[in-house]
Amino acid sequence: MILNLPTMLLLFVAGLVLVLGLGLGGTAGLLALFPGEEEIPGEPPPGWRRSADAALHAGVRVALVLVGLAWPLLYLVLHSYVPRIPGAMCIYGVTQVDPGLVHGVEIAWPVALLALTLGLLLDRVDREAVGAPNRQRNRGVFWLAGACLVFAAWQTIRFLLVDKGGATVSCCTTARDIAPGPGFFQYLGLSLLTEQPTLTPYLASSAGLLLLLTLAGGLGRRLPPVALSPLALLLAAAAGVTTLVTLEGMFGAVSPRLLGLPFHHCLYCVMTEFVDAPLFLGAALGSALTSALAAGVASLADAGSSPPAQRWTVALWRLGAVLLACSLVMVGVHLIVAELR
Amino acid sequence: MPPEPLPIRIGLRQAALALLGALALALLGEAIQAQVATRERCLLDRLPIQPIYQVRVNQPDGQSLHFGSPRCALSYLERLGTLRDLEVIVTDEVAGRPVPARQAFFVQSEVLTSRQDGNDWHVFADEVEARRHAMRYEGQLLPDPFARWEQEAPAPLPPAAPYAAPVVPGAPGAPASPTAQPGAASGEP
Repeated sequence: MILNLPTMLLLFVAGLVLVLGLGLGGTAGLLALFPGEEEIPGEPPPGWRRSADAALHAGVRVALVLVGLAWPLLYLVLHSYVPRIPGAMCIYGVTQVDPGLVHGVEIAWPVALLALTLGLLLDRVDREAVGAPNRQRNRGVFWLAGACLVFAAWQTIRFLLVDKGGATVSCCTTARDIAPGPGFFQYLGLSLLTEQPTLTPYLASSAGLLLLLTLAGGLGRRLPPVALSPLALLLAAAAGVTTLVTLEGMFGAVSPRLLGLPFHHCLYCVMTEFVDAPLFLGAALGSALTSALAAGVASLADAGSSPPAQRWTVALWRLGAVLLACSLVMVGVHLIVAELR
Repeated sequence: MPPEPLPIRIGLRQAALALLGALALALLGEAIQAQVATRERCLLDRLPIQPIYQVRVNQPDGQSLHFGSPRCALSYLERLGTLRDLEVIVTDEVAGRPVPARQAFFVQSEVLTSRQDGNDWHVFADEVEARRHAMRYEGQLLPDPFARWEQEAPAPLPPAAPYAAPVVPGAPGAPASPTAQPGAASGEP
């Protein structure tokens, strides 16, 4: 274990999240399993369920703030470990100490954030609808959010406590866009894909998703309501694939071009070198998050028959399109400046 | 009946404003990065270069590559693998002055100059200092690790001509004008 101030802070926050996650999961599970026969739709539940319901909603808001703290704090901790691990030149090197565990932690926090936001959003949509018809289902989502919190916090604590002494890592990798592309694509005549095997798919998939989200956001209110849920699921799947391709493209092509280094290049370095890098990456991830939220709202709050769910789905698509466009504009500016340099 | 407004109002105007904001932020990021980039950094790991361990590699086309340590320079050259005929200038870590790698003494010891790049190479201009470091820190005196990338050693100079007294124009036996035989006085062939 490497003991320093960021580690202590993250341990504290992760500990709180762990307790809160257990509490939230337990309360939401109890309310979902024992709803009480006397509960009237649209009214607050009577008796102990009323206090439990209020505690659940307050807890989810506190958890959202803590997750918002823990996620960036994780990268501060990884950055603080760089001088302590031989061979590590940046956060990427630290992730190589135990790649499975670190990448698991990196994924767990945004998933917890997604689950919490989805729970809150479904609750809001439910309150806007007549008679709060999905209260029980939303408690199930809160239970899932609690489980995600517990998992993220537990994995983080495990990573912080694990012995990192004696680990020697290497930060150096070869940029994928410098390496020759696969011969199959060359044979098909896809020269752009061959020469830039990560940049071209990144730009193409992002532009495609932007077009789809813009169309869906623009036409969404004119579409038949029954089409919203399948369309939202389709867009969420497309956003998921685009996120993976985006991360690959940012690591393999955007970062080496921006940093101008052939061997030592990664997204983590770009994040520390360019002040706006967290924003363009955050906007790209935010677009995927809003697409996933739209799919969650459309399918769980039944956009086919609920006008609030329809409004929220369309609004989230529009928000996703704007976020993705902003991310592409920022990356485009940096790529053009890097070419001109 | 008009449709109810969306819970988050995003129209063309808001989208255009957001895009303008993104453009401004990206340009601001570039401007700040340009200021930061003026500091000298290692070409391999982008860490600030400590003058006492720096390595400069001069390419035949006149371009210079700067590294924070011999390990970074070696790692870079090994990975790139295509550079040849280089002039490598290392830094004597005792006096801090530049020394051609060909003339320096290299010791690999258990002392790391930086944990981040893991450099255990030490450079000395003086052999006695190099041996002392090797003995004190369980090191090994090694030949120039950059030899395979460096340019061929320059051809040895022709033996110096025997000393001749400077020729004074107008003196007996001297040529009529110094321009009559250019380079003769300076010993050029």
